[in-house]
Amino acid sequence: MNNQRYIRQITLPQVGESGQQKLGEASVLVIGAGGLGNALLPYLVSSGIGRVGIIDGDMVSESNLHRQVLFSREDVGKSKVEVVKNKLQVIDPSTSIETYEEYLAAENALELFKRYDIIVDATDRVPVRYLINDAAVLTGKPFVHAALYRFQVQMSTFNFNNGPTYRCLYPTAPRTTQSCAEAGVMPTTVALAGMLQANEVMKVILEIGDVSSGKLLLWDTLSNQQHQFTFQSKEQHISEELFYQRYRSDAAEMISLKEAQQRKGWFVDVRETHEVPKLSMENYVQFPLSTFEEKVFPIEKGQNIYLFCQGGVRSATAFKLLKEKEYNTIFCLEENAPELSKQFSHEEKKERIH
Amino acid sequence: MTLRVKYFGEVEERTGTSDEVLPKEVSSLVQLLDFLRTRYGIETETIKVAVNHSLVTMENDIALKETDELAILSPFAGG
Repeated sequence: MNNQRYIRQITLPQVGESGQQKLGEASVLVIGAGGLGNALLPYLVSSGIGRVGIIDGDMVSESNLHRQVLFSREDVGKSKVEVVKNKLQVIDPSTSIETYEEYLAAENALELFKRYDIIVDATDRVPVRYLINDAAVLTGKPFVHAALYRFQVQMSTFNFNNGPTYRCLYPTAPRTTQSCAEAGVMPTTVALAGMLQANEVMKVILEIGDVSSGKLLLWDTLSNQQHQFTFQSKEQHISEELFYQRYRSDAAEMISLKEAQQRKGWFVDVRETHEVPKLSMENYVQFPLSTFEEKVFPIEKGQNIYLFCQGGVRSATAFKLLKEKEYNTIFCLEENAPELSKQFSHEEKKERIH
Repeated sequence: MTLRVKYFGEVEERTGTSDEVLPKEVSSLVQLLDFLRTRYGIETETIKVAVNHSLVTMENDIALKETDELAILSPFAGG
């Protein structure tokens, strides 16, 4: 360990050589390389934390750049975790950076959580927080949470030394909540939220100060007022079996074109707009997967949505993203653009013959 | 009795104000939740009520006192 590098923090009586050693031996998994992840990751790495994992299946888009400051214009379209890894390795090459270019799901959560000491929730959807919470409880890991709504931030550390969990705070998931894409966000607000999380991680590792366990910090960055609310543990039951039942249900639900046409609804093409074959069909909407983060999905909840792309991979990802946004009447079409193109030109020909 | 309540996040958006004085007839947790449902159409199953900075369980009714500091909050999503 190059102690000159960390000398200013080692000088603190609450840190010292032994604290620096704790940091070097610690491992942290950050879920999400978006606004919160971009804010907190450089500080986790520069402080000398030994091993940092980052999981995110998303790509960089232009609307990320104002607040996700590790990304620049030339990174648009690239894997977030890959870009972040390259930037972080320059900050402190002694930290081992492990990246996972995928989304957190029932299938990968438990194995991944077991490999780290602390979990950081840097996501921007409510449903995934319940998955994180339950996986953290099952693997016995503390998880540091922050989330924001416009200029307000909430922060708490759950499941710390068997303390209260996210479900103790919010037992019932709301049907809808607004993400940054929908509600809007200033880069400084998300940076402050990420910094609160990074600070909390330090306290957990160094065993100093008061960890925000059983306490929710609510910070209004416009008025600069801070409120701390306390909450109690509630008895809850979670088992691995229940966990898989609860979260494996997000496998894409398939439907045939014929059945979709009978049920009515919207056919959403998630390919890029330049891709061929071009299609001409009723109730057809183009909404490329690459725009999901920056644009509001054009169809209201409750209407049937049939997703398709060129080969079925992007429509499955779109399905997952919409599920996370609490769209429930969504399906992936069994037929993709090439088959649909044949089908519709065939029907057109039939019409001409008649 | 007059009670004052603070609203945060999406609850504040629904009520259109960051705080207000509650109608005189509101003097318990159940009455407060009824008021939020009927006046603003808020889904009270998913919100939290803080009484003197302590988030209370919604299962039991409690009497509210004039000196109580009340706050209503809900989960935030953004990150």
